[in-house]
Amino acid sequence: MDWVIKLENVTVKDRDKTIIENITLEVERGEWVGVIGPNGAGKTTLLKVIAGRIIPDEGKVEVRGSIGYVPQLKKIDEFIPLRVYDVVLMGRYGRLGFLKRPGKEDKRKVLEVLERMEMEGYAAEPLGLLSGGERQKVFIARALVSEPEILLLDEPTTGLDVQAQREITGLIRKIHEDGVTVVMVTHDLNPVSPYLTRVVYMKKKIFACGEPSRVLSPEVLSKLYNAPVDVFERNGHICVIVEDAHYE
Amino acid sequence: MSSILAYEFMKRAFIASVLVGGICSLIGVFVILRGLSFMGAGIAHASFAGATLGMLLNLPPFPFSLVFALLGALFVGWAEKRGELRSDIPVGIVFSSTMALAILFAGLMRRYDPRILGYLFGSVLSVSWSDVIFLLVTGFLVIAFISLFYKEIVFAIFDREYADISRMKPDLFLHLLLIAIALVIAGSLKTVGVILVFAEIVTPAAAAYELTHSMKALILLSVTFGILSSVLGLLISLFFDIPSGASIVLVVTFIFFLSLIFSPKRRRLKEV
Repeated sequence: MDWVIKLENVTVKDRDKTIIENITLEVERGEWVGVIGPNGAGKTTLLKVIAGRIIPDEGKVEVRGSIGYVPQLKKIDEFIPLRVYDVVLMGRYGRLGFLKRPGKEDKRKVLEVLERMEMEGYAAEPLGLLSGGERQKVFIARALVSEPEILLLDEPTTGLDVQAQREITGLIRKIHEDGVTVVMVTHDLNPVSPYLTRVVYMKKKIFACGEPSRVLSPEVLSKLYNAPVDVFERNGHICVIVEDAHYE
Repeated sequence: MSSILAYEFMKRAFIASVLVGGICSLIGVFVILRGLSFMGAGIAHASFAGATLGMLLNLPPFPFSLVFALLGALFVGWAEKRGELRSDIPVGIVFSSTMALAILFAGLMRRYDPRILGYLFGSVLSVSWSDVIFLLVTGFLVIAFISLFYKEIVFAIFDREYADISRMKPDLFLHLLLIAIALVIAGSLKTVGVILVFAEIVTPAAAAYELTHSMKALILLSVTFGILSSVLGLLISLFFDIPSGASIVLVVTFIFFLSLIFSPKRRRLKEV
């Protein structure tokens, strides 16, 4: 099998607390995997393990190919002295290594990616003045200039309005169609469910893993979220509605 | 001006002021971007404790002040990285405990050493050529470090996590930055003193921060404000016969308030 990510019995602990436990997962080249689970399920930790930022306490992690990483959108200082171009250029630094300064090729690549994302007009814009959706696109562009074979995204649509969510989802779809393997942590499967090759449900351990149509069932999701969940299909989209247990 | 510079001690004072103003305001850019403004004060107090220990032992104060500044900076960096304490807690501990040490060392002296007051409030008119040479060497090292590793430092400051994932060793560069800050503080202590070195680091950079969205312009403006306030402050102190350190800091504070009032960033933010 042509796997690009392979985790075998991976466990991560923070002192005595287990964050993720005994995770075994293989991601094949060209897949788009959605990772879902409640808050504190260890989803972000899983991404960081794959990215090499966290070394697991137990188990083995193997990655074949370069990684681009899009972290969760954080609040930033509006006065931050960085322009869009500067932030995207940072995506090239890992390839450049120490002491080398960005050259013509790096600058060309930044402008090319911004153009592909229809953001060429934003190059000189201060990062702090952009909307959440625009900023998320900048961070995706930063991941893309490193020319990754695997793209890891941590809740890329959380906190964005519907229009921005749609734009970001469309963008990730294009990136996936270009042959990049995508692993995406999300709270909201609805906008991406038709495009996912697999869904991983986790709550420290992997509860279920498989094709969205086969695995997305009210039984599995209700157990995962500890609340009644309704699942239905509309225009090819699998829609998941988590009801508030409070009203039961 | 030329009549003032006819005196050897005045030449040294001007050169030292310009160097301190330039170096402090350069490193200050990274101090405020990293959110370490309070840490500058902590390291300055650690450095002061080292200087008083040197005086107590009848040895040159500078090596002691440098070692204490480095230990203070590395302790804060270590405590912050471990993540067990919020960064303001180790800074607060360094700040107060080293001040207690300084008072203890001063109290153990048989006779009061007048240099203590010089280190506390600065004594630009008493700097020697060896102090000036040390400041030149410090300036060279700091400029070389920032020029060579500009990309690595900026990456580590703005996105430590992404820099780590990109294998750019952000923790190493953030520790080197702390060492550079400690070196600058220890080197500037005799000229501007414990209390005012903090202002020379933070205020020019804070003033420049109000004016630009560009990192390079931020550095240029900060250094310009640092040098300008040093020269103007020293001249004002000579003409009005007031303490030079206080005069320098008041000039740079005035520049800061001007920047705050005319900040294009704040204007644009209101428009957005």
